[in-house]
Amino acid sequence: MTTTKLLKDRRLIPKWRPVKQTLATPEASSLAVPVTPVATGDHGQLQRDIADWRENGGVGFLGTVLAHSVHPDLNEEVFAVAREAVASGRDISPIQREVISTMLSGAGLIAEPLADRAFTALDRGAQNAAVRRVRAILRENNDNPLAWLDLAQFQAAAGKDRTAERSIQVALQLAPNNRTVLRTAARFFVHIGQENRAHRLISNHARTASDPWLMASEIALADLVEKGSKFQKLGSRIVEDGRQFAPAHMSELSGAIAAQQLKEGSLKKARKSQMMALRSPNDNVIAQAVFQKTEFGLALDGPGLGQAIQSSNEALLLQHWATGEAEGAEVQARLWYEQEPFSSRPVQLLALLNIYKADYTAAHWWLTLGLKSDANADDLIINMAYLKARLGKLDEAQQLLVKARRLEKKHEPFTKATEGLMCYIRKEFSFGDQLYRQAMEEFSKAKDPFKMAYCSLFMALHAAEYGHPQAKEHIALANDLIKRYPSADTNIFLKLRNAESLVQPVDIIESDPRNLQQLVYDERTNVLTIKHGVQTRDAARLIKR
Amino acid sequence: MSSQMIGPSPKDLLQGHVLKSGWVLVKRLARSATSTGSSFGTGYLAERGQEKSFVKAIDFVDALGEPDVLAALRALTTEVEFERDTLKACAEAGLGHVIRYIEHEYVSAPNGDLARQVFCLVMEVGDGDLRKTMEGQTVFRCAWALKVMAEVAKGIYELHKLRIAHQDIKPSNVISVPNSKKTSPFGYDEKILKLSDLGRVTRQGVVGPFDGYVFPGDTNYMPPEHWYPNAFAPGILQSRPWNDGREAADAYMLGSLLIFTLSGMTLQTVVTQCLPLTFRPTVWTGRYDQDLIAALKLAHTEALIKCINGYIYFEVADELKKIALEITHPDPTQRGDRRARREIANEVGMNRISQRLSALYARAQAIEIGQSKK
Repeated sequence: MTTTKLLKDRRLIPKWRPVKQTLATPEASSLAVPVTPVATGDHGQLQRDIADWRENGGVGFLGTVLAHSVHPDLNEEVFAVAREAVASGRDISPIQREVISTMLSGAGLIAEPLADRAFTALDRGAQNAAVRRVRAILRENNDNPLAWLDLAQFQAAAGKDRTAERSIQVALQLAPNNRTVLRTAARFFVHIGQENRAHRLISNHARTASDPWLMASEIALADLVEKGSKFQKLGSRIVEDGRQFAPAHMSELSGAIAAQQLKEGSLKKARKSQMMALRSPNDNVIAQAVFQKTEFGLALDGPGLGQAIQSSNEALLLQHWATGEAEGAEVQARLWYEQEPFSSRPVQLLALLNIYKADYTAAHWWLTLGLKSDANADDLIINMAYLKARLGKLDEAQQLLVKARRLEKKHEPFTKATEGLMCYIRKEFSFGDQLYRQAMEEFSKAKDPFKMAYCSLFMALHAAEYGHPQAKEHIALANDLIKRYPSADTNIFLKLRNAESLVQPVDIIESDPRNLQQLVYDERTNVLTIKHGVQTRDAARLIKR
Repeated sequence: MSSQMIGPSPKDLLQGHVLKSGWVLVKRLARSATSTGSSFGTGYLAERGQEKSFVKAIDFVDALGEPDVLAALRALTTEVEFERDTLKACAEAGLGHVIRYIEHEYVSAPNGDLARQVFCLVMEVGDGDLRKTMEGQTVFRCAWALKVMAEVAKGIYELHKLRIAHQDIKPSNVISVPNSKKTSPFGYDEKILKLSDLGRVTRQGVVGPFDGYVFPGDTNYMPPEHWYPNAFAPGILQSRPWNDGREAADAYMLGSLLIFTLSGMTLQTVVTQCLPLTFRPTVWTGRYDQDLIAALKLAHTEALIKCINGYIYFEVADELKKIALEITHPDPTQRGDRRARREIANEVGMNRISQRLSALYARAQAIEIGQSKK
């Protein structure tokens, strides 16, 4: 049984959302400074066209009026005619009706491939419909790089990594300089375990030197492959200067720099960079900030950050997880899965939650789904082995553990603990104790006492469940370790399993975080201003002048 | 132009006047009915015995009221002369899908005031523009839409052959003209669709008044490379080759016309609504690069699927969508017939587009006839 993968090793690797979602974010927007739009419409011509429509009616004349809607300065008049056309019952084509309704609602005409379905993981029909839509676009126009990215995501989610790789390659050939394509390709290569290839792609690309989004990806990928980053210095200069790009464009770069500075031990610098990252964070940056909240010791409140957290399923999930709100965590994990169905991380968490709840049918469903996307996801395999053991299928569990060992050695303590459980089930208690203790020792050697405490919890509860003669001692040990090393995982588990009478959960106490802004009230002028900057721990939120 | 003249303009006072050539200006047309796009003329319906024509009357009074009279006069005369010469060139080449030039003459003012002379351009007259022919329909007949496309494509090709780019193809500049030569069971051949208003054309090798404009036509119908005011460095659009700059714009406007005949919407309107907010012309501040082109490509595909699927016989839908995607490609250097673009000359290939559309029109007509027999 593993802990959640969420609580370790998170980097600012680009997110791979459905294309239409990404295109709606600042990540897809231009780096140039926005200019005030100029009035471009021909007001006189619009008046003549409206007069023609009033005189003649007909869809042709109405279409000529609606054509002016592309000029924002004429929108008001065009919308008035559109409303009149609908209300008056005059001739109007089906497409005109649809365009008018979306025009007036301010929405887009085309829904994103994944937006019109909820929880498609449970609705194969809806998922197939979404795939059909992407395929229809490609059938009409196969040189459409963004549609290839969506197709690749569906293929990766179905575990067809080789076909997904081909789709990614096609997208790269069609638009080798497109930022979304480059970042998605890098994310995909990480997904299939080719991290070096991902790093090479971004690091060697000509656009990276001038694009903060690609620079951020390069720094995060360099960290992943444990290589020196080619752009960290340049990135740091850009972040320090802070004037070259809009805050939204610098968010991921600042976050990546902050993570590196934190790793290097420069907490003060790291906090400053993180503050830049949090000026206008995207969903990836805010999730990273929630993930590293304790390390940075920064408060993530205030209207801007609150809104950013609400827009990120991953950030919300991390928050719910940290506060032990299992239901909220499950909802957000499912939404995150909707966004990145190829990723094993939300699946891992959903499986864990269901295992904690002892809903083994649901846990099995999620694990099967996750393993379909990534048959070699070692943590999913270990959890499946645990599940099989709990269901009494010990041979199957053993086979899975053999596979997990072959794939990844670093999970050995988890593998040993699962074998310990299997011994308890077979009533081979002393052998089971030996395996559990070996697992705990290995966690201790790896300087991870929280996982050691987590492991002792499972040992204690399973000892009690399977009639271990020394169960009481195990429970006492677990209580002692959890008191010293409490974690969100142990608390959620105890809460969901109603095992609080055996082992006491312990509240996790965080030190007071520092605020990123201070409100300054000038009594003389009656003006309230916001002062940006990392505050001292005891700084008041509001000061008077 | 400003209107500093006193009293009505002489070009508006010609109803009932008889030209030297025998044409009687029987009815002054409302400005919108002619909708020529060239804002300086007044339209008249003219008759000579059984013959009918359209007369565009232009005077110099407004120009004489401008602060810089010489410049205004020069601009006006250059535009009028250019349009007349272009129409003449088209008539001499026997273009069958462009409104025919008949003749021109000057009408003198009764009091001999030379400044109040009117220039009259006599042209073939039609029944009305494309918008008029769409009256009473909310869902469009497939064969009719394909006829419009095939004939307008022919018109564009005829112009391109003479190295003329129309630059202002839109519903009001497609005129339905009676055709006595052919008849088909559904009356499709009773009318022929012709391109009108050559007032905004550019000609390769002939200096014209709109050569300096990167896009001289109606901005509601322009191709996407012109939607973004800051997307190109200064001078880039002006220095594009003829095919990528001028002919490719005509190809795009043909695609827009297809969407208009099927849905009553311009392509620009539908595509804009399919675009994510970040890439909309009022929001995007970057260059016309791969980031933007990829988003435009996706939006065009979605718009075309939306407007074509379900409105066209499935037997012709695939090929029509293929043509539509080729002629509305957001990258002007790739816009046009795919085969023609791959060849060494790298042409837009309006001849091939026209042939492909004619074949589709014939097929759609056959389907419609077959359905009626059942």
